[in-house]
Amino acid sequence: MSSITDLIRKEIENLSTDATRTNVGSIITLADGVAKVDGLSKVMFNEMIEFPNNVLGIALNLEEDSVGCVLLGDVSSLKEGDEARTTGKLLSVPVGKELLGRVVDAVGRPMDGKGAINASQSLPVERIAPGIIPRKSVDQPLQTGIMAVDSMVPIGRGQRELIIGDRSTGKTTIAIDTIINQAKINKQGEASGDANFRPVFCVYVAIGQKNANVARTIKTLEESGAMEYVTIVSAPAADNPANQYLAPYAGCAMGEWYMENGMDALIVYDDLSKHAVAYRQISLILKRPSGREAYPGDVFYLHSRLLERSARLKEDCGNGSLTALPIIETQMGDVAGYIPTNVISITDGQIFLEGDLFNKGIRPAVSVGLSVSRVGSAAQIKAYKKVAGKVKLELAQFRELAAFSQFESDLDATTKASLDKGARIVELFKQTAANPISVEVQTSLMWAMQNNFFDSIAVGDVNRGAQSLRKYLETQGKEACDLIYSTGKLEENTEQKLRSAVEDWKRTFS
Amino acid sequence: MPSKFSSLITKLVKESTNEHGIIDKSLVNNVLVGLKEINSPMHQEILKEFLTEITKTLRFQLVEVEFGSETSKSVMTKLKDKISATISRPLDFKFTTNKSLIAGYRIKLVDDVFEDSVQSRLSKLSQSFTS
Repeated sequence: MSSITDLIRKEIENLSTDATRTNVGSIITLADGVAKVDGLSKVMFNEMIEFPNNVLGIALNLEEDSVGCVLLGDVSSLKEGDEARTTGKLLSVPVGKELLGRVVDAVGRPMDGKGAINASQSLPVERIAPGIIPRKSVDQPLQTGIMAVDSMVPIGRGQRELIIGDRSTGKTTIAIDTIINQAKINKQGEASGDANFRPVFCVYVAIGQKNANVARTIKTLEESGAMEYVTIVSAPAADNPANQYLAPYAGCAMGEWYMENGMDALIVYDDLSKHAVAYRQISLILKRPSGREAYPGDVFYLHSRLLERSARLKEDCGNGSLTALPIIETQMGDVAGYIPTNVISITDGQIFLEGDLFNKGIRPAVSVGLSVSRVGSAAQIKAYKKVAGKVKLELAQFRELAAFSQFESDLDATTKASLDKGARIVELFKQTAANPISVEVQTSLMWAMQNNFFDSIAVGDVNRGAQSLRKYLETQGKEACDLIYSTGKLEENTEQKLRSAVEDWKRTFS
Repeated sequence: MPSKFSSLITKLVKESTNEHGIIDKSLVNNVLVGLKEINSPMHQEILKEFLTEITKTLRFQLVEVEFGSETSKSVMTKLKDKISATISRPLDFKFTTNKSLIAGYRIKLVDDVFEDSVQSRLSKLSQSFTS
């Protein structure tokens, strides 16, 4: 009790008793979460505006005779003529490790009922992306744990890799599996006691999603033990467009904190199509001129300024990184849409997911032809590069040959071999959700495939075989995998150990 | 961009101000009557611009002063003199009592508010506990 009294006394003693000067205005119009305010002559762009009943707004439109503010929170208590005050502050969100394991809204307020977030620092949501000087080329891998991705479209720390595809093709699953894999690697690295180990902290931004989907994602992350490394920023479909518009920037500020403090972070924007729609809604209400598909003219800048904030920093700038996995939903597989082409041109590659492959049971449904990583093998460990170097080409050839071979009954031996190999790789790449594979096991599986150990197994049994081999490599054949993990290379002695392990497994597999 | 009537509007606004440079309601009425009598084809446009300019000028001239309790005339005069000395344009003072301030004052000049009242201090204190 006395501590509360002391706290109150301290607050009263520290209270400034000087006269205050504030810049005020009054609401002229109020509609759809946007208020037009008369006055506020000294307002800054993106400044937080205070309305009655603790409602906050952001000044987005500074016009000659009025200010357009998007409102955050419950606007039902506001009315025409209400006073609006400038705060002198840009919209900021709490940042730091205190946010790990928490679910917050677009302004960093907790939504999970786990109490207040005692973050000691905050950062503005809108910030300038790192320039040319502090940046460094992407050269460290960020393992997704998904064989089809890590082998054909490797992602590096600091890269922006777009996940694009129609609805229900497994876009979110790829992002969530990547987060789960980071948690798995983090736990493994922390347990090893390696002083040079760099964990990857994750931020998942849910924009315009159904609350049920967000709840499912949280459950998946909790069940897989990944939640302790993740912060979820949620602006669901039921939230107002202003919060949906702000959520990715808020999440980015949270991710940037790790990068600027010499750590590695991963951010998932799920998804930017809905983000663009929320921004279009705000822009139309603010009466900004609309362009193609009614999007405002700065819809490219909306995403470019967000994604440019992901980077890999130089050693003298802390050596941190922020990797971004933005998600875009296409309509009927049309990658040439306005928003998809914008984001494709901003990012460093894309993982395109095909509905047809998904429906055929090829999951993850990664399209070999349309998926690309502009960082390429620079973001792969040497051992993996050695075994997976040609796999993309082989699979692309397989898809092409498979299409033609439907009309040919008599195939030559080379074509038959290519088809056979391709079908086996496709089977090898099939992977269930929330089941990431470590890079050393992936390397070993690819090595076994490239060294024809799966050739004697029927195509339909290859996936079962791969799972059996995976189990074997994680238990009895661990020595070879440990060598790959520690050296990152596939040297002669490692290959010998791997060969003997795979041969042992082959004898037991039926 | 100045309109084609800008010099006319300036003159009309000048006609609407009294000897202290303050907009006077009766003088504004005189101008409006005069405009109606002329019955120019541009009447509506001129009227619109004139009223916009008058509203703008009124906003810039008005100083709303609120006190938490009844205040003596001498305090009002002192305050008036002090503000007039700081701001070099004609000002129209409007003094009122606002009991919700409890004690202290609140001065509103265009869209700037200068405030030192018990209400604002309590509000600051409440914010310091909740933030």
